[in-house]
Amino acid sequence: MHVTAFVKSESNHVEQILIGDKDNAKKVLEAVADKFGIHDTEELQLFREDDDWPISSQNIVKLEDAEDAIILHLSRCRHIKVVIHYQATTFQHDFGPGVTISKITKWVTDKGLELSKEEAAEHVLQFTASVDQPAPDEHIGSLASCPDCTIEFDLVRKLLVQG
Amino acid sequence: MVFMSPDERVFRDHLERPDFKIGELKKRWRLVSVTWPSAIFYVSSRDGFEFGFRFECGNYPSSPVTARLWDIGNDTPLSELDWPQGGGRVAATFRSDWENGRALYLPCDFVAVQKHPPNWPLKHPSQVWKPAKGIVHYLEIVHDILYSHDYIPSAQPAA
Repeated sequence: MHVTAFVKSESNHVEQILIGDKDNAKKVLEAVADKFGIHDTEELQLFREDDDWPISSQNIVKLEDAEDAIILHLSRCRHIKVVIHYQATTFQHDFGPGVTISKITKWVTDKGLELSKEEAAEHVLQFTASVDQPAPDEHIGSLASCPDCTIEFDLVRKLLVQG
Repeated sequence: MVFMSPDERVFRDHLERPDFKIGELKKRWRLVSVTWPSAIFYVSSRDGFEFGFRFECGNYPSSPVTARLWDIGNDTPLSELDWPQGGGRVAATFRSDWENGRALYLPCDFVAVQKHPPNWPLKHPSQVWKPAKGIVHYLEIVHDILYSHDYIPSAQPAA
């Protein structure tokens, strides 16, 4: 059995590879690094999307992947320090580099901001001192640069298109 | 050999990119057909219903695309009775009172951009057309709106 893996990198480049159910983490890591043209794999780690810890199991493909593709992240960073400003409050947490913007947004809106579920869903992360907003599927490790491994956002309300 | 114009070639290349396929994998959208310069997609909503959209993609990706709700089974514009219902961003995007509903009221839509002053998209920088991201960015925006709490789930069974 083979599973398609979409692998995102620190530079937000995405490659697609096939992983066999008998392929171990080391073999997959080397195949992915080769696809990205990276020769030095010593500090590289593979993460499953939205996991905080690198893949350590012998076999990457799990039974539940049988009918699906999987999304991975290739990074030299173990964690990304994420700082989020909302009104007068600042939140901070370390996330795995393969964690998505949507998961981080959910994390911060669950921090007792006194927002209803509906209101929370209308908020989005915006790069601090910018008007740019990353897409919900983007990996935090593709937005923060190594070796700083830190990134700051403001939590803002989604704009209603008018005019 | 089948002749393919440069804009169609870029469009079809974008459909092969991982970011498009990841959206399909997450069941956010799916391609139905491409008959250049038109393309038909389903985009899923919060309740798992799928709305059809017909895109016009000429001069892609240097020009933004434009999209309208589409009845894919009958290959006609979707009856207003079947449009997504809701307030806030849903009501602001799917407007039958503007341009006869022939385009979505979004800063990334070609028709919407043409009908506004040049600085209008700049008021909504996150929704400006991005040639490098192309159709995926437009689909992400539509899915985000249909997945929001502004959307009132349809009474129809999920597709």
